[in-house]
Amino acid sequence: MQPADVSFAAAAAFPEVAAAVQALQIWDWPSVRAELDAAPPGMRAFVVHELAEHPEARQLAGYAWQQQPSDTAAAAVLAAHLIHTGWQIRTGAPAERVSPEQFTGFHEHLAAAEQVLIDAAARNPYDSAVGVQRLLTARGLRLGPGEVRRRYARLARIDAHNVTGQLQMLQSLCPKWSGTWPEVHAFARDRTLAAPPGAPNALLVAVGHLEHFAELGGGDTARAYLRSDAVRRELIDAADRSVWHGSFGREPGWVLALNAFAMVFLQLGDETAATGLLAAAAPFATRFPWSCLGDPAGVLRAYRRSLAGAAR
Amino acid sequence: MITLLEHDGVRTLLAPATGPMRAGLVFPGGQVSVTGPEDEIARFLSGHQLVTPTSATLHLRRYGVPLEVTRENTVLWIAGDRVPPGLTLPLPADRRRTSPPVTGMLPPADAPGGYSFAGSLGTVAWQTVVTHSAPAAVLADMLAVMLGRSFPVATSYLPRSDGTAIITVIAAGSHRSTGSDAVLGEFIDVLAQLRVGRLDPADLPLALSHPDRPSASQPDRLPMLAAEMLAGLPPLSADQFQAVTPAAVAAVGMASMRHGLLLTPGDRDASWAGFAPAPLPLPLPPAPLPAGPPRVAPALFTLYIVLTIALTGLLALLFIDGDSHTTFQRALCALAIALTVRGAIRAFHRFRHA
Repeated sequence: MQPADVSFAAAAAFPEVAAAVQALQIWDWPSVRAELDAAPPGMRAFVVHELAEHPEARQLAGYAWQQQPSDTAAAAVLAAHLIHTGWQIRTGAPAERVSPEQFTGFHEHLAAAEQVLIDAAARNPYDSAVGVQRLLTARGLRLGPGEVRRRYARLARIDAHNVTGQLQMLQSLCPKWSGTWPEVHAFARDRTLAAPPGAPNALLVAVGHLEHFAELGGGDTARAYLRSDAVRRELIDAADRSVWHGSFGREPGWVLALNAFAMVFLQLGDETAATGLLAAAAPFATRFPWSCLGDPAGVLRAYRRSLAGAAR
Repeated sequence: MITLLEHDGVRTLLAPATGPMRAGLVFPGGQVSVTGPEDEIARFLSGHQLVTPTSATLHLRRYGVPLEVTRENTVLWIAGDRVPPGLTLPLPADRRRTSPPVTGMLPPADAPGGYSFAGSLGTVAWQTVVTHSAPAAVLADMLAVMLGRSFPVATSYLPRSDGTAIITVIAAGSHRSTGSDAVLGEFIDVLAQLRVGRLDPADLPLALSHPDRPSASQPDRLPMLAAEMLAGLPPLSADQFQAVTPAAVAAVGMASMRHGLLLTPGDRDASWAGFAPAPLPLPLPPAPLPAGPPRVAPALFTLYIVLTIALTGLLALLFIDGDSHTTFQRALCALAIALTVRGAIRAFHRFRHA
């Protein structure tokens, strides 16, 4: 394996995403929909989330939705694309560095998406993809912590262990979105223990602590936080329950789980563990958490090189 | 056997019932009801603030006129043996009014979800106007079933003399256990189900089992009968309710949306959900001046003026031809005249403003 082999495209790691993207790009909505309808709720929500960045989504899903408002797959893909576009306008910068024009564009796109999603949720209350996208609009439009929790509870009734939705919920609980760290870590622990052993849901524990690590600046203080006994113990338990578990499979979230725990063990100074996890994930990777340290591809290549050198 | 009485000038429906007494009042903007021992009922209905801030706000926003509860526009119902002793309804008298025109204030909204406006409290409520019918009455209870799964709601269905009916759903205590943001979200989701006509048929039997249906016992029917009496309409029949289908209820729900008025908590709006801002009510006629100090009786005032003039004249007489008076005495007289005149002017002003 060459260190340069880094693939962030979910389509590469997930055949379901690849099939849906391909159908979208050749303007074949019936096939996109067939792919989504055949997927279990966790995969359906994940694939829709991954389709958001594709520019074809707007016109193709928009047209399908107008033709048939009961096609909630089309509603979810259209909304996901609107949300993605809105967030690109806003950018991920802290609120004080976002201009009023950017905020207006952001809100317009999110409100448009939200109205599509309200309609879809009324027509089909069991669509996990709609449920997940509604967590993004609730956060971006700042509809309130109670409303975010209500939407998550509604999603959990359809699909108790939806990783894509749980990651959105985790974001909403972060202090940057008016939550608190105890809420973040409690949610991560709770959802990890609720999921079956070997499920990727334990990645919530890693992501929660990595978010906390990033907020502490990613330096020595942040590393000291990760290396504290309680946090280290919790991270090892979570890895035992997911990426190191015999029944860890290739469900939505598996690439992120391996990447998040690899970063965790690098920061904990356990390079053997990190090397094993990166090897298990390669060539697939996720931008988070490497983006916390700079350009994700560069960071990841540098780590792989140094780990390969250390192993030699 | 239902008896029609009059109590404190208020029409009263009385039907004997077993168990603890139930009683309530129906008036144009809403209704209240209470169950318990006679003295408790008397205390509650005598002292109860009939118009809640929420129903007053919704009424003002829809009709542009304040909601007034009067003797002639209220019906009392009692499921029990008698009017509980000690129950007094000191309502102002008025003539029986026809209901304000429904479209006078709020034309059907362009937005598919209807109108919304932010109130001053954490309360969430929704109100709409429908054509009075059995499916419409069932819709109100359907909303109570759907929203009632998440938090307590108070629903009312009030027919009006023009053949329409007002459905009001108020989330009770929404800002306590559940956050008002989540209550608003749930309202918007349930209203979206109404708009797309997706009501769960399994909820229909629950809504139909509401106790005030014509098939129910007479005491149970009293609230609806009182509302129908207030509107001057014949009661809906058991057959009409029996014929209600999920599709009929859904059709009423879909038609009701553009007349809908959603009250959001003070710190939230519903534009993100596609609701149009409700137009502001027209400016109200200026309120009467607050009650001032008690009026001075006109006779007493006249007497005061007469005495003042007499005294001023007497003092002036002394002052003018009193060669023998000292300067001190003259100054004293001048002061007395000035004080008397000042007193008279003050009394005059007070009288005019009283």
